[in-house]
Amino acid sequence: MKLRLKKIEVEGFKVFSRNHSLDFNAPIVVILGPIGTGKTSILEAVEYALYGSLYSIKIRREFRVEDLINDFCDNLAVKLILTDENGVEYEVYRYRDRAGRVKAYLKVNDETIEDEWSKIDSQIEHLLGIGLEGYARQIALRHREIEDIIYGTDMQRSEALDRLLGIETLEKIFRSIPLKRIEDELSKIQNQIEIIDIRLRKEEPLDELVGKLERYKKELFEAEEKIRERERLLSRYRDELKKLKEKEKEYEKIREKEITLKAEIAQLKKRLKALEKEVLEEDLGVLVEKIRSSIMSALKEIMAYKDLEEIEKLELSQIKLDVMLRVFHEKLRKLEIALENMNEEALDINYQLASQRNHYNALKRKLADLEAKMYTLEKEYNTFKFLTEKFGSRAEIRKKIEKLEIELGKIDNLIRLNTCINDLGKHVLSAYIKNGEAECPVCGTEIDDEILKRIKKRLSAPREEVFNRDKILKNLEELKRAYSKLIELEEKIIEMREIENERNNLAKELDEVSANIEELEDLISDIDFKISRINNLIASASSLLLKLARVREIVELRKELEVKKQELNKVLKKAMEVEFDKNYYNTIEEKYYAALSEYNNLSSCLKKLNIDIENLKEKIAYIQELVNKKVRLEKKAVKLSRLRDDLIEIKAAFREIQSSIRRIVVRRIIEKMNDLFQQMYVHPDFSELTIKIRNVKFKREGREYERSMYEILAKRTRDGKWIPALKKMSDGQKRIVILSLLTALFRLSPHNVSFIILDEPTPSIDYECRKAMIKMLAKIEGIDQIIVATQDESFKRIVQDEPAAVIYKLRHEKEGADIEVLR
Amino acid sequence: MSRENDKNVFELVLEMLEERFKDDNRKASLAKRIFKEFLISGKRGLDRIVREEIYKALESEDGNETTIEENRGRRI
Repeated sequence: MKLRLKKIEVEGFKVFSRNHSLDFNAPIVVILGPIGTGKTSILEAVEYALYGSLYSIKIRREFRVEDLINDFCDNLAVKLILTDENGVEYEVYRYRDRAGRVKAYLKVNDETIEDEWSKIDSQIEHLLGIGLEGYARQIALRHREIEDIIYGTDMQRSEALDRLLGIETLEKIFRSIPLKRIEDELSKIQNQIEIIDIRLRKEEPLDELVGKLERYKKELFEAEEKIRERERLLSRYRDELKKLKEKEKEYEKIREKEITLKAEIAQLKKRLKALEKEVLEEDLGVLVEKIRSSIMSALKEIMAYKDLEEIEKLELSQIKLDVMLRVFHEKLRKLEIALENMNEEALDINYQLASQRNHYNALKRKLADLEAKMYTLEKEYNTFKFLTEKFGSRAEIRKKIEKLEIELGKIDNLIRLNTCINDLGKHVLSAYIKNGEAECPVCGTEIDDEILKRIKKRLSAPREEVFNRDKILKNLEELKRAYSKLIELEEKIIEMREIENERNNLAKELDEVSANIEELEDLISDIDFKISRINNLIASASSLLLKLARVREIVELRKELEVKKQELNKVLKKAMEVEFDKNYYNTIEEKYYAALSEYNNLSSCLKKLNIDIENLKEKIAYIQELVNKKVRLEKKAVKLSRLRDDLIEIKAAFREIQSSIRRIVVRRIIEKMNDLFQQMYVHPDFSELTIKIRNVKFKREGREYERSMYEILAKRTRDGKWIPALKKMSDGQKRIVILSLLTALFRLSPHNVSFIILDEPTPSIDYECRKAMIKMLAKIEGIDQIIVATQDESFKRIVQDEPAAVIYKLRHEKEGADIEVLR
Repeated sequence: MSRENDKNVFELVLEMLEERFKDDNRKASLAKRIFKEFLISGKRGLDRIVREEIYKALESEDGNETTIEENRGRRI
């Protein structure tokens, strides 16, 4: 299967912002255009479509894949159609946006066979039979690669040719095998071995140490024997001392008890003496009867007849003395409680008495106040009596007043009449005096002298009715005053009656309170007497009980003293029975400590020996460990040395293989390259080419290397000499030589590609040679399609004889590059 | 074209390594591993293989080597 290009569509790829389509379905495709119009971009688009990346990105790392996207676009898309000799079409599509999202597919005759990016890469590689690196070396021949070979130094040229031949990897492997690292590790191990050797030299020899250890073990055995003997002796002494100590302990215990008992007896005697001094001895029965009598009298006072009976029934005996004492104390307690109650009662009565007395005094004060009021009111009562005696009762006075008022009315009327009469007389008199005559204005009677005399007499007569009136008025006044006073006094008398009642009541109450006070005073006197008596009885009983307790204590002490004395006698007897020799004990103890000291010395010797043995063992172990480690390290050193030797051998093998392959490939190339050169180079001065390989030594980073260098030689027709082509020939000739070489490589490579791409292949090459080169390429077996990207306009003429050739013209535009089909 | 001419460089290298170390399988295997690993991962891969080989050589039979205490056994 041989594949060729049919069509490509690009959008957003490098200079192409818009969608462009180029039909490659021709044996020769020429892409013309000035710099920057996208000639190389189209060739790169083909490479990107096939491999999803570029050689300059993936291998040379000149820029990033994102840089392929046009600056005015968010993504790129490339669609490439290939076809084989049977007309089967292979369509590969690649899409990538700025966020790194990708899409791709591979179709065969419009049927999608793969849509996963990485799988498409391997499918394409399989279809083309060549990887990205091979494609870049043998299919798409770049101007820059050609320049590297022509104008580079011998070393650069050789490296570039190695790259083209595909054997530079072997050179890289040869250089990269890190022998130094192994050497370093080996050196570290050697150092460690040396350190171990130094340490081992410092130590005693191992066999001497083992001999020493044996001697120490023998000494240890002997010391252990001695120790065992001392242990037996010590055990005997220890047993003896144990028995003696037990005896001593027992003896000491008896002695201690004896001392304690003696001290206790002395103490008892002292106490007994003191008590005997304190209490005169009295008969217990008499004492008990006295106590009984006192308590009974007191119980009678509080009328506790049941308790009285209980006390009476008690009988004196030594055994029941405690019971009696307890009962006596109980009853005394009861009496004390009763006494407390009586005291409380007396207090209560005293409170009542004080209250009654206060009440009595208050009543008395109130009565005195009432008496004083009564005295005043009695005076008023006397006045009342006097007035009633003088004027009569209030009703009578009222009647008199009414009578006098009537009389007074009459007198007033008389006085008014007399006044009128007198006024009339005065008028008549006056008229008479004035006129000499006069008549009565009432009856018209003429006034004569008689009448005048009578008038004058009347006018001059005293006024008795006026005198009477004054007298009546005076009486009336007096009566009215008496009347008013009586009203007033009547109220006072009512008040006096009320007070009198109240005074009588108070007097009665006062009598009652006085009787109460007397009664309470009698009661309190009785209680006080009772309390005093019970108190005396309790005090007497208590004192007797105290005495009884002391007497009882004396009896007890005497008994106790007797017991202690008996006990002491027993202890003394026991002390006699225990045989304990202090001197013998001391002798045994001395012997024991002497044996113990000897034993301790031996023990410390033994301990020291053990430590020495342990140290020696550790030392031996340490030396053994050092020896073992040295052995292990030596083994490692051997392994590492073997690895180093292996790698040196492998390294040499890669170098040898590289030389062999180089020779094989070069042998293959020379023949083919000569054939192509002869077709391409139309001039007669050079007839043949060959490649010579020579080995050169060189230094890099302080180390010496050897590598093979290529020399391309051309045979000069004139003298038949082989001359170095890349040094002696012109630029154009050199370019033809290299194109011959690259084309030969294309031919020799076992791939499935039938197209060759030439990027700017012919600067400095004359027209004739250019034409010959294109013709030659077109004729080469296995090349069905030639794609040329160039600035050189002469290619229009070169391909004019080729009827199937297609020419695209690229030009600059504002919105990026534009493509025109010229032919 | 001979059979040799049809082979690519990769196949030739592997074949030659096999031939070169036909008596030593270990070396042949190591050399082939180095070649393949270098093609896949470059110098880093080669370094890794050598590191592994050094580790294998340094790995003691009874586990990792421990440093011996210098002061041990000095109590005598």
